[in-house]
Amino acid sequence: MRLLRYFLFRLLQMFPIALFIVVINFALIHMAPGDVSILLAGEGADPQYMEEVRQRYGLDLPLYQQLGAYIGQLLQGDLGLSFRTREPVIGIIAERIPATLLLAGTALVLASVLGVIIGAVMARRPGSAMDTAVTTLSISLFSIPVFWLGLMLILLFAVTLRWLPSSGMVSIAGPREGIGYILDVAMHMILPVLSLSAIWLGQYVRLSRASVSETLAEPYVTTARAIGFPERRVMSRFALRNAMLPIVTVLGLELGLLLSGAVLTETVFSWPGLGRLIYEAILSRDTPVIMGAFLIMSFTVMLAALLTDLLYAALDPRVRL
Amino acid sequence: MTDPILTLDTLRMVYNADPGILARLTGRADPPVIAADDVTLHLHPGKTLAVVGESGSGKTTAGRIATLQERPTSGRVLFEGKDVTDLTGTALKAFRAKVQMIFQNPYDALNPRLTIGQSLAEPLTLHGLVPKSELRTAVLEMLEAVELRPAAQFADAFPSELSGGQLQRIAIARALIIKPRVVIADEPVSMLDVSIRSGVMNLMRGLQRNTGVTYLYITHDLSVARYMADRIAVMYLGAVLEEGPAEALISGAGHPYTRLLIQAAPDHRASEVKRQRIRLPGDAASQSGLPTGCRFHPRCPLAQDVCRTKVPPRVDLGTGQTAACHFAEEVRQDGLAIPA
Amino acid sequence: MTPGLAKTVRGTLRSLPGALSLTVLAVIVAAALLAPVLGLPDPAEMAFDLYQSPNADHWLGTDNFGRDIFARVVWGARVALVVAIGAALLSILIGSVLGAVAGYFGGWIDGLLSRVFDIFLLIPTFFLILLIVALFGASLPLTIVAIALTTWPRSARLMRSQVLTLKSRVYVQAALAAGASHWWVIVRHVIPNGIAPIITDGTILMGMAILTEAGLSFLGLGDQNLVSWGGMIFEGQRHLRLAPWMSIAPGVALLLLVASLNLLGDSINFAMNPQLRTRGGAPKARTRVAPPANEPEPTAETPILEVEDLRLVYTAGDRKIAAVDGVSFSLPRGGALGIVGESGCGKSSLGSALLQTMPNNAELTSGTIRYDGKAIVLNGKPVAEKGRSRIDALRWTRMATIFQSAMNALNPVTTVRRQMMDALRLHKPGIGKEEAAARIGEVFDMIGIPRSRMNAYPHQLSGGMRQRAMIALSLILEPELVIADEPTTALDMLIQDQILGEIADLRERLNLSLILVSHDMGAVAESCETVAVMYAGRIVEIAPTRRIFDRPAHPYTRTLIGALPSLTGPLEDLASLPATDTEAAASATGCRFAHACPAATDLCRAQVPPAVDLGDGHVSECHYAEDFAAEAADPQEARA
Ligand SMILES: Nc1ncnc2c1ncn2[C@@H]1O[C@H](COP(=O)(O)OP(=O)(O)OP(=O)(O)O)[C@@H](O)[C@H]1O
Ligand code: SF4
Ligand code: SF4
Ligand SMILES: [Mg+2]
Repeated sequence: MRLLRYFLFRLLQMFPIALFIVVINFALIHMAPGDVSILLAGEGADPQYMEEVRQRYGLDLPLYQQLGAYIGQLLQGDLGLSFRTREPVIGIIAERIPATLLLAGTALVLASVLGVIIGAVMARRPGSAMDTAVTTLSISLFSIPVFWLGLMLILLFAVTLRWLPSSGMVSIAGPREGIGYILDVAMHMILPVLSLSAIWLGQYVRLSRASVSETLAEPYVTTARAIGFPERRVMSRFALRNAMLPIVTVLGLELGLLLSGAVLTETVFSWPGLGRLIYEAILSRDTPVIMGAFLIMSFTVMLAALLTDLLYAALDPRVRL
Repeated sequence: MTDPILTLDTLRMVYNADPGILARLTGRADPPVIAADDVTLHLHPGKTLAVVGESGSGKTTAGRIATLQERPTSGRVLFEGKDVTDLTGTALKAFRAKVQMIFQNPYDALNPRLTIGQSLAEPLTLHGLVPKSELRTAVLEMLEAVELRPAAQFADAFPSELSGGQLQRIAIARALIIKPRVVIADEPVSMLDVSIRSGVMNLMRGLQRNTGVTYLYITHDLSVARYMADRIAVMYLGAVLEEGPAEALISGAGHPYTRLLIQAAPDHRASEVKRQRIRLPGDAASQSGLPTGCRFHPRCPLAQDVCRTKVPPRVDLGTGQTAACHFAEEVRQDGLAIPA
Repeated sequence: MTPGLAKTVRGTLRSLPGALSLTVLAVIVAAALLAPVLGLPDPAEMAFDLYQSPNADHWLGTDNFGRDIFARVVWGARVALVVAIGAALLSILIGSVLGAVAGYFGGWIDGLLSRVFDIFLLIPTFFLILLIVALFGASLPLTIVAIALTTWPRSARLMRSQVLTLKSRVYVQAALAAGASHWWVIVRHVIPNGIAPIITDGTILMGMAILTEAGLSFLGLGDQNLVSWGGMIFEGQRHLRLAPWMSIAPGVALLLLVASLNLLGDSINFAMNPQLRTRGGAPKARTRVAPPANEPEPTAETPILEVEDLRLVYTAGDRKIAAVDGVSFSLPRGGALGIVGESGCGKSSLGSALLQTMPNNAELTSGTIRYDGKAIVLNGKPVAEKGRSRIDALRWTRMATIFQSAMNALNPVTTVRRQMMDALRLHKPGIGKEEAAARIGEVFDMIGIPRSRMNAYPHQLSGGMRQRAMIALSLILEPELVIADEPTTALDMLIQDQILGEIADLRERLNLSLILVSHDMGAVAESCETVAVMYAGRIVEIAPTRRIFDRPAHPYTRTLIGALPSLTGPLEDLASLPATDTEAAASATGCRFAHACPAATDLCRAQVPPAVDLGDGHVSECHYAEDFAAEAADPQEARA
């Protein structure tokens, strides 16, 4: 019950943020060089459509009314039409979300689970040669440009060894249903997931190493040992549980950073997700799609932050509900 | 008695009095904290007044207001008879040259990036008291005065190279180098080791003898207060419960709280037979939501019905001692043994 | 250079990653600076030798236009560094000013600015930059500005929290109280002390900026007129099969530069806080030994705890600290021993050695500990029987501890009741729910915690209640011996007194043996029959309580007693000591107290004093113990 009230309170706080993001978007459109109607309709739109856009967004009205009209359109879920395909942007984006979710979700789960485990293991022997090596390695991992890593993986596994497909989500002539389809997608996923999770892995190892070793130095861990809890239990009940708190927070907050990696990876592997969509939109100067994607991404990150907050509140009794 | 040099007149200080609208609407506002509530203290020139109280009793707040680092919600600060509560600008700066402060934590008292000499010279520079060419001499003299020798070596050291006792001596030197009239010392020895403490206390007493400076000495330890001070004020939950000459107050306290404090002080000189402890009903006090009537009644072993409803008056016990308790006279006579 | 800064620089240079990354950075910066004078081929010059793999003429090969890739990589370093430095500087500049203003002035300014920082943190910055560049056209300055505009809140938040802590630092308060203006304080005290983490973070910002620019270029949103590594990979991608070297070289360069920046930041961070690297960890495996042969069976007379020549040494960097340096004592069953001494004399270290909960950098170099006649530590090594350390069989069921700060010693995310339940269940696996609940309730009643507070989390209890909860936890399994390390420090006078009283009561009721560690002579005096005074790792004097106060036979004990102001006794001037010089004490060839002892002689400086047995369990390590014992400490008491 208190959790619900807390949730509503946090939700309330999200409104100004959402508004702020929309206003940024709006301001950028108006500050950008060139005609607003062209940006909203896309270059080379036919005059009739252009006129329709001018009407819809109230482009002849004073600025604040335009903002109102813009927000009105957004509230109706209208992100405009893609200039390239003339379809509603919202639909185009929605179509691409599952692929991105599949890719980013898999990589995220893989990286975070593995990262937390490796980090926790390293935290047991802080300052050891192994620990220093792993720390240095994870720093190097997240210093790799993800798109370059993708290319190198393609070079090795697709071009040289010919083990795995290098692009797309399915083989052109592959099966479209059943276990064969799933296997086909899985094969296509290996390389992009690998490159994406390798980069994130570095982050999570560092984070978990820092957080767990911090917790292991806490006096209540010493208490647990003095009570006689076996080390395995000290680790799981005391250290990991408490170390999860900062990890969860960062996980939620850095989702935006993670998504940028997804875009680049999808570009390299021609993965038919949001990232690829953005890339195509950039190439064809399809501004409505780029703006739509930015808004959707922003709201996703906000939502993730909200959920993180809730999770944190559920995990830590010290949070004031 | 001489006229007081510094007077705190019915001070009241409330933090968080005004939470934001959003916080209030959602019921998440922190409750206001009454840090000081009716505090009146007089400092007499060349003397020491000790303020004794547990953490959160408002003794530090009183000290911060006395140096005008904080402005009271209501009440006045008088310096040499003049109201200085709302001073700003150059007048405030001039006031600061006369009323200085020593803080609790010596390990944090000095900028780690400056040498001791630089830190000590800072107040002199700020007030333009000594020409640049003579700064060094003034600094060395002050270091000698706080018994840090060889002075030149200390002047060139960085804070991280010194021990807690030495650091606190330098903090004292910094407060005294501009020859203030009044020094507010906020628990200056509580973070030091016992054997170092007495050195710092002796130093402060010696400096007072030599310069005639006035101290407001804040402490949680009655025996330290007794050692340092001419008069003692006992604070609890933001108010002064008892005030009087040090010896009179300790030998004949008129407030149950003072009595309990005296009893609780661990004393190795106490007899081998374990002292009888009174089990107190309440736990540590909280400052939001003051109790009605006497603010000490939830923990007072003598509390009566009248205590729960009526705020006790400040009873004058003669010889300059006052206590805010309905039964002050009786407590002074018979201690905590009076019949309920 | 202040000692702190010098230490940081030294620490960074000494660590392998730090030195390595600095070297790589230096090479890259030098190459970028010297690019025009290195005599490289023009990076834009097209030639006919297309797609050449690396060879003697073209070290890294040529691209689809026949341009020399090595030259392009070197020139690309310039773009990368310009982006890194430009974006980081701009971001730090905007961020620190706004962060400092928010932190220093607080109030509604802070409220407003902090909201803005938070909002920016929630914006997926890469997409915002992407949008900006897509809308406004690709150019390097715009990219830099866009990166800075989206990353400044990071610096701002950092600066704000720095300023918030600095603002409450005593030296800042002192400067203000001395009459300094806000600007004086900000410029002289706040910025110099707060800037370090922001500069460190700058290296990470630089890495982020480089990767962002590379990402943009890779998406085709880079400045077309410049040679950028991201752009090179963008072009290389299309020729991946034909000329993989086109993408390999710039990627390696990116990786090297960004990794060095991140590693450098990391090394500086560690050099500033060296304990970050080695803190915590699981207890390391220590060599265990078998119990000694023919241990006598314990009798009623056997002391519950016996310690002989215990030594504990910490290793900190290349320093060795002998925190416990030859401690011996014996505690009879049901007895109470108070250990007093000043900060750093090794009290807590001794406690941790008794409980075998030392940190990993601690080593017992000698000593035997016997619990109820059975050795649990033999010559510094834990004793194991049938593969199990003997101490593990004693934990909490026979030997428990009360830690100093209950706030940290209790698990913050578990209720007090639950923690007690867990301890109970661990040692009595078969115990039923009702029985366990009854036992917990019983202990709560005994300690004086209302049962209504049982399900509270530690942070919901007041300081006194929390300390009581810690005591309750220590008693839940009815141990015989409790080791309490400063159980009342940091509590208010009245509560401290109450809790000491409760401990003394419990001891009598439960026939507990007690070791009470404290820096407060008075507190120990009322609860213990025997008092041991520790100085620089040794027990310099041990005696029955009355005796040690009436006839202290060690100058250090005398100073400790003489330094305590009395509340009820006559007013006398207090004795005082110069600060304990641990270095001097540790390196002393004779008595370790000689450097501060008012009675020191040449004999003291030359020879280690023997343990002088003065009878009735009174032992003092002083050459002149007998002389001191002959005169009473307190002239008043002697007269009385
Ligand atoms: N983990 C550690 N690594 C290195 N040195 C340590 C460590 N813990 C303590 N020391 C050092 O060992 C000495 C004894 O420390 P210890 O904590 O036992 O003293 P203490 O008497 O309990 O002091 P306090 O009264 O401040 O608690 C000190 O010099 C301290 O700096
Ligand atoms: S007024 Fe009553 S409750 Fe207050 S201190 Fe006196 S006796 Fe106690
Ligand atoms: S042996 Fe000498 S130096 Fe040491 S305590 Fe005794 S008198 Fe002092
Ligand atoms: Mg300790």
